[in-house]
Parts: sequence; C-alpha cells; structure tokens
Amino acid sequence: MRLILQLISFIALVMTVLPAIVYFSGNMELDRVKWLLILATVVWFVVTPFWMGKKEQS
Amino acid sequence: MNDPNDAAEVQQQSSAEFEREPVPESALLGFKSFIGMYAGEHCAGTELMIGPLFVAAGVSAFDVVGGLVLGNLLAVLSWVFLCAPIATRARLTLYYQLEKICGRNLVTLYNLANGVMFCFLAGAMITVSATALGVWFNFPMPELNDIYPNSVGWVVAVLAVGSVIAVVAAFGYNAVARFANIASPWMVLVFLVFGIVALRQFIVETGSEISSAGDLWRLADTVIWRGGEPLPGQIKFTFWHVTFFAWFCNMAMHIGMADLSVFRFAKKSWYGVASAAGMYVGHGMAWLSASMLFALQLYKAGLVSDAAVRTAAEAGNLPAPLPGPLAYGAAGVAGLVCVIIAGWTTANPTIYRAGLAFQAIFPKSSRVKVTLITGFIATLAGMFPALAMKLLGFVAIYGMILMPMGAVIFVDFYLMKKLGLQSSYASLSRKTFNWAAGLTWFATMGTCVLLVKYAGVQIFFVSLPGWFVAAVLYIVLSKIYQTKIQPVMEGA
Repeated sequence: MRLILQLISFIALVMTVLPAIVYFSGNMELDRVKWLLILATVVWFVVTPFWMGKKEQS
Repeated sequence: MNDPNDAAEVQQQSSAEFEREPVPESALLGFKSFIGMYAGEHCAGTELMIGPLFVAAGVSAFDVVGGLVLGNLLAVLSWVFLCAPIATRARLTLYYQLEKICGRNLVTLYNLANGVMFCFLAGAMITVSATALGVWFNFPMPELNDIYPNSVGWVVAVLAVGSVIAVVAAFGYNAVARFANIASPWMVLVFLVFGIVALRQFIVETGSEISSAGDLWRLADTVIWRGGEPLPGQIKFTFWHVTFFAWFCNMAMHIGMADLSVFRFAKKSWYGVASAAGMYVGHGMAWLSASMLFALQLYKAGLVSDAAVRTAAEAGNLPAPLPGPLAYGAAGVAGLVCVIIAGWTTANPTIYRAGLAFQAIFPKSSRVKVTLITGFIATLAGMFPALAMKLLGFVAIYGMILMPMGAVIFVDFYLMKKLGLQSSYASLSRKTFNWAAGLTWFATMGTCVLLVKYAGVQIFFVSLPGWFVAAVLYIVLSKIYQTKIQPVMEGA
C-alpha cells in the first residue's frame, strides 16, 4: 500500500512540473497548465501525508 | 524522491536533545538527512521577494548568474570549512558553546538580538503570504518604496495571516513542521514552474527564436536581466553585490556558527557540502525564477529602458514586486497556494525560534505566551512593507549583527590555546559576562557602522572586514582581560 501511495505522490510531482515543460515547448495553453497544477497539488497534499513522515512497517 | 523524514529528524534533534552535552556517537545522522533539511529550509517565502529585488536593483544576466554561482559556492565552503569542523569536533549547540566562552548573561544578550532579528524576518515572511490575499480580495497593496501600510485591507490581511501563523506556532508547531516537510518537494517544483512559465512568456512576448544556448543567453542578457539603472529608490547591484549577498545572506548560520546546532549531529565535517542543496536550489533556481516573474511584469508594462522606467516612476506607475500577483500570473491558484505555504511554513519555525530565544531571557514565562507575543510583534513588523521591500539590506544587517560571535567561536576554538590564552574562558573563570567577547561584539558592530556611514563601504560587503576586526579584537581584548582575571580551574 505504501508503495502505491508513494507512486501516486511521485506522479503528482511529475504532473506539477511536466505541464509547464509542455507549455514551454509550445504545445499547451497556460490555462490548462494552471488547472493541471491545481490537480497535481491536490493529489500531492491528499496522498503524501499517508506515507511521508510515517515509519515503514517492519 | 527525498524523504523529508530525515530532515525532520535533524530539526527535531537539533532543537530538543543534548542541549548541554556533546552529541553521542549513537545519535549521529547520515549525509542524506542534511541534504533534505537544507533543500527544504532554503526554499522559503522570502526567496519570492529576493529574486524580484535583484531585478529592481538592475542586475545584468552575467552579474546575477555568475554572482549566484560564486556566492553560493562561498557560502557552502563557509559551512564546510568554518562551521562543520567545529560542530563535529565539539558536538555542542551554538548556545552552549557560546555560554562556555561568553558567559550566561552575554548569551542572553545574544539571544535577544537573535530573537529580534528572527521577528523581523518572520514579519517579511508574513508580508509575502499576505500579498497572496491581495489577489483574492483586491485591496490596494504596497508599492516598491512604501515604508508604512497603505490601506486598511493590507493591515487586515497581514493581521489575519500573522495571527494564524502565531497561534499555530504557539500550539501546533510540530504539525506545521511536518506539513512543511510534506510541502517542501512540491514547493521546490512550483518555484521551477514559475521560471519555466516566465521564460516561455518572455520568448513569446519578444518573438525570440531559441535554438541554442547562445540564443537563450542573448534573451537573458538583453531582456530578462538587462542591467542598467536600478529602479528608483534601489541600490545598483553588480556581480560583487550578488556574490556577497548570496554568500552572506545566511552568514548568521555558517560564519556566525548558528548551524553548530545542526552539524553537531553530522558523522563527518564534509557533510557541510549538503548545504549546497539549499544554496543552489533555494538561493539559485528559486531566486532566478522569482526574478524572472518580476522582469516579465516590467517587460509587459513596457519598462524596457532606463528612460521608460524613469517616466513610469515620475508618473507613479512603477509595478511593485509582489509575490502573490506574480505567482498567480504564472501558476494560477496553485501559485498563490505556494506563496501562502512558502511564507507560512518558514515563518512558523522562525517565530518559534524567536520565541525560544526570548524565553531564554524570561525563563519563567510560558512558551505559548512568549510565542504568541513574538508572533504579534512579527505581525506588526510585517505590516510595514519597507521590511520586505528593503529585504536585501535587512538580510545583510542580520548577518552583520550576529557575525562577530562566529569569529569569537572560531578564535576560541582554533587560536586561543596556541596564543597561550584560555579557551571557554567564561566557563573556567565562572564569569557570567566575558567582557573580551562582549566588547568584541559591540566594537565590531560599531566599526561596521562607521565603515558604512563614513568610509563608503556598503552594508553588503562590510561583514568581510568585520569578521577580521572581530577576530583580532577578541585576541587583543582576551590578552588584556584574561591576565586581569585569573581563571578558576575546575576541580581546583
């Protein structure tokens, strides 16, 4: 479960920066970048507290 | 992905354990712990203010990029060669080490100075967060050269943000510290997004064709950081200004030795290189990204020449470097959230540390009460936009005030015994105020002020000669002071 949550968090981080890179290449509108950024932000802050700062179960 | 558990571990241990004893072998931490801590701590709300102020100071591309590379390198080297070696050999907190050298009363005075500086720094962070509320509630926000609050809306916004931060720092410090660790990786990437979006908009606005690094540099040099005159009321920044600012903006931490409390947990002194994570991410990428946002705002307003800037200034139409609107333009609501979180998560520990510093002066007061009062003072300070708009100068003063004690610790650790003098003199002589250290502190600050006022040395540079003044003064004054007062040898 922890691994899945970490994977989702990782994808959220990638989605934080990837739309901006696509925008930089001229293939996305800024408004869409902003919406994807909000989505990635929500996912990061909802999912990450479930694993970050909590000790891994042995 | 960097697990900030380690960062939290350093912060927690550095504030809570082994306050009056060397850190034992079993409590030492690995290199990774320090990377996480530095990367998170130096990507703060104030970075959103400092970057734009570089543009307002008229930096050129070479000055800002080259200056940051060199200045941050010098900062890292200061941690590696000045602070970390003493920390890993003595393994004591800054306060305990200072108490052994200076005596309890002088350390109390140092705490007072440190607490006041932390209050103002937290005030600037509250200011940064409050600019985000301005986007939502549309009240008049401060201008670049404003000193006093300019609207009721601004005062209410700062009061609201500051009150929340103060209450949380007093009652829920640990929860926010954990939240700060969670926010840290996301925040770093949002800073990167600011830079990427701003760069793309520059390319679109100028119609530039970027097909090589040379093209990119030309855009940076002629449009983004075009140099020239600073904005009215600002000091012109050159390569050396940027270098010294990047080097000395954390002077209290490295040369001033505040991070003895952090690196006493390091297994090896070379772990000081972990500070590079904070310097090149927070004080490199984040500053450049934030500066590009303000440069873009100036460009869109048609302020592309010194003459245009002068005309706009005379007409009172000069844009202000306000992190909230700048971040909103580049990254929308997520950008605003980043501004609020960046200000909040860094003001929180700053108010908490200031509270601890004041509590050392009034040990009978409750920590909650002291932290609330400290937060209130920081909030009052945050209402005055001059604090944030003159942040470059304030940060330089902050380093200058605390630097002399770093020189005292350095001399005490490496030179005193070689010169036939006693190290940890207050502890040995059972003095509560080591006048040699006290006079060194006051006289060094006095000398720095004189150099700035009458010798034309700018505040950004004065701490370099100041450090040598402090080191020499402490040796000379100790020669006089220690012969007058014989130490009471422990166990004698």
